Amino acid sequence: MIFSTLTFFIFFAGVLILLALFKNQNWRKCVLLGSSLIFYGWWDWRFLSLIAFSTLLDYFAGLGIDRHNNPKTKKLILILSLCANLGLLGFFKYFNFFIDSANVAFGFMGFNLSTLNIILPVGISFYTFQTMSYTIDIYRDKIPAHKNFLEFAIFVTFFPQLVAGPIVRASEFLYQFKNQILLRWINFKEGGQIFLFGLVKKILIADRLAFFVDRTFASPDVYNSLTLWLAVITYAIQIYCDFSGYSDMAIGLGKILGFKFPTNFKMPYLSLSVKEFWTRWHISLSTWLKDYLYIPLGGNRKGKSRTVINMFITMLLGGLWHGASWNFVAWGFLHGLGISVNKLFGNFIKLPKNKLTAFLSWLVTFVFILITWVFFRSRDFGVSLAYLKKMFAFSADGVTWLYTPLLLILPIIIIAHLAGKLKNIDVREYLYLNLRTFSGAFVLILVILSLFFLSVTHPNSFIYFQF
Amino acid sequence: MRFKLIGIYFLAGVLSLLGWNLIIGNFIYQETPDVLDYQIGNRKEPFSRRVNGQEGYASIITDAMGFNNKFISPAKQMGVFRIIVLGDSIAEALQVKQEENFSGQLNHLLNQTDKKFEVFNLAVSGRAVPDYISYAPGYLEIFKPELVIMQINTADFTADARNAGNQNYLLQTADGLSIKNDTRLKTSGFDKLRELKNKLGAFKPIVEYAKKHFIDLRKKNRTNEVKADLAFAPGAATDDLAAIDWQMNKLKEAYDDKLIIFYANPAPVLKNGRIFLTEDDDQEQTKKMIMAATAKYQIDFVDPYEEFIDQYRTTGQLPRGFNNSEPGAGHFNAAGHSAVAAALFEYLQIKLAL
Repeated sequence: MIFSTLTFFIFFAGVLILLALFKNQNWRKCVLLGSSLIFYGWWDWRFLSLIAFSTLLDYFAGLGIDRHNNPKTKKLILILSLCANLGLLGFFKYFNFFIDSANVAFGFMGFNLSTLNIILPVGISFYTFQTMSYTIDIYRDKIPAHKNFLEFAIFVTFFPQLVAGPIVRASEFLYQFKNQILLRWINFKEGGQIFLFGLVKKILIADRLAFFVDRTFASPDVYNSLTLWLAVITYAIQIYCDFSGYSDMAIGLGKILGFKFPTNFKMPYLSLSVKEFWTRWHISLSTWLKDYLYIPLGGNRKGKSRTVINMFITMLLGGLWHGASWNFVAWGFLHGLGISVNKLFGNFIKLPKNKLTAFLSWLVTFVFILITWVFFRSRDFGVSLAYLKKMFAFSADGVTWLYTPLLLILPIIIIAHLAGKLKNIDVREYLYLNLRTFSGAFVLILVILSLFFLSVTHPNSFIYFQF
Repeated sequence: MRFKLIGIYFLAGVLSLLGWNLIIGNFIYQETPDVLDYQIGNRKEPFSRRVNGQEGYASIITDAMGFNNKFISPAKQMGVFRIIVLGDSIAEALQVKQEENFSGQLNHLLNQTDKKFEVFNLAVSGRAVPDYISYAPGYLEIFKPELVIMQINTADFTADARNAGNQNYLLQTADGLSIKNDTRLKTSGFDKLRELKNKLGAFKPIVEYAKKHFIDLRKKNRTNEVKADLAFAPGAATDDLAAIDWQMNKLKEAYDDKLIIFYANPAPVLKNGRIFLTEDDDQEQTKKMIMAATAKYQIDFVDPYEEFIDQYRTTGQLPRGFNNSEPGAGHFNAAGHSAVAAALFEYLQIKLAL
């Protein structure tokens, strides 16, 4: 069930009607849990057992860690929980990848293991990280175990952010059950606008640009260098609008239902360094990796060389989190390299802070991010290399494709980012509509009509669903 | 306060619709109703505006008979050599300006010679070979052409020819092949719908586009409807060679020596340093069958293959596709129409000793 389809709108209307009908808080929680399970089961009902297993495992693991005073017992429960979670993730997501890689690496020795026909459960990477952070936080005495199973189950399965984040931590979510679940007009108005903003990003920008990106990345040798540069810029816009659009929709839906989710994006393409990029892009993942991987590895506390190694490990695993492919490993490696160079370079050379250096820093960072997106988007490593080779050949051989929607969208994106930078706020905030005025009503109706008239005739799934 | 808010939303709604109506009608899509014609098939209303912005961009006004020409007149002047162009949406060419389509360019090229020519574009989107066979007497009687250029694709003789959704389609019975004319499909309730559309007046573009867009969305989301659209006629012929041969024979009987068939090739692409035509094995096979059948029935066959390759090699331009669609796929662009016009002109120069 994709947010941008009619099926979802009918589903969500049903959820709101049920919430309005049941005044009792426990019943309302049951509605939220039930609807979340229906939402998840819509893809494949068989995976409900998997998410149910994860929920029960971490609920009882949390209680166990909280209840026992013996540090060894606490640690043992945590390790069991982590092994089970990572085991499931590893099996469903990485089993075939490791088998294939082993077959390639040891093929000369006659090594040939067969792979399994495994379907990747939607959102498994997201909810596994959520539940892992819950047990780790209890182990670290940051939060107490949550006794109310219904509320904990909603935390794991909550449909607005279940399949593509933001990765919400227990400390950010469970306390919100202290407030009553209420349907308020103000929440509906604000959340609805955030949702609509995400829908515009998804339908009017990401889905339209996908047409250009899919074709150019499918056969890069057909097109000339200019087109390939434009295509990778287009992909940068597409993935941003697709993923941040989903996050906006999740945040908006959460708001309508009375819940607050953390911000996941802060205009990442304005970053002046790769390090800064990771404070603006998929913030819930980068902070998760920092808190639960980089810092436990030693962070920057064990000398420069160890810091760089820790950074590489974190980024490599962060890359691998996105998918079982060497392309994602390369993507993670490049980001690790970028951050390390950033850190070492920043320590040795102090550049004067002026507009020119800021612009050059932005340019270098942006081009670097574009190169990494080539690995992220290409179907395999060979295509990535062929794509980059043609990009940097600056060759006129091949078809020139100046994709018209990109030429219309690009100035809008640039203006929106510059305006956001000048006002130092996110685009979404200065586009907030006052729905009681004529201009607010006019823009709202115009946007809704645009969503219908300009929608592509094949609603695409969200890119991050595959992770 | 509540009434004020309702008023605000009503006004905002009307203005937004008007704004969208203007955008759609001028930049995205504007279609005009069909005129019923049993002699040469349904055509568009005369002097009506058609806008296509979804693939390329062109805004054209239909001629006095509803076709995509600047000028048309069945009355023939003395000493004028008349050529009519039959075909589907490729020859109808709603994606480019009228003077840029191959009929217009061919007309221009031919009139640079000592003779006087009239090239009329009578192509209608969705037409296939059974239509050209059925309407042949009408075309010949009304326009009295010296030559008939027929644009075809491989599908015109095979899949499109058997599409039961068309007004004329190929039917396989125990007695062999025949053409079925199903007028129900195009006439039921049609006048009333047209009347209603006309009453909508200023809001016609937005309503028609909304309907089309909604149908497109529904089709894409329901594969069974797509299948229904492509459902072949009951007992459809499965033997392509027999079907092509039968239709080619009928075309020869209908148009005799006036007929020239021009094959709308796919676009060339550069892959691994070599230039290929984006044609699959099935298409290639069907093309060979068509060429064999034209040779058998002594029908002239023009293939702009070399022109497409040369144009791509020298200018890098593909004959099909646009910046707002996919280069190499879909309808001919202005470069493609130029290449086709050049191929046809070269051929006619020899045939007519110009």
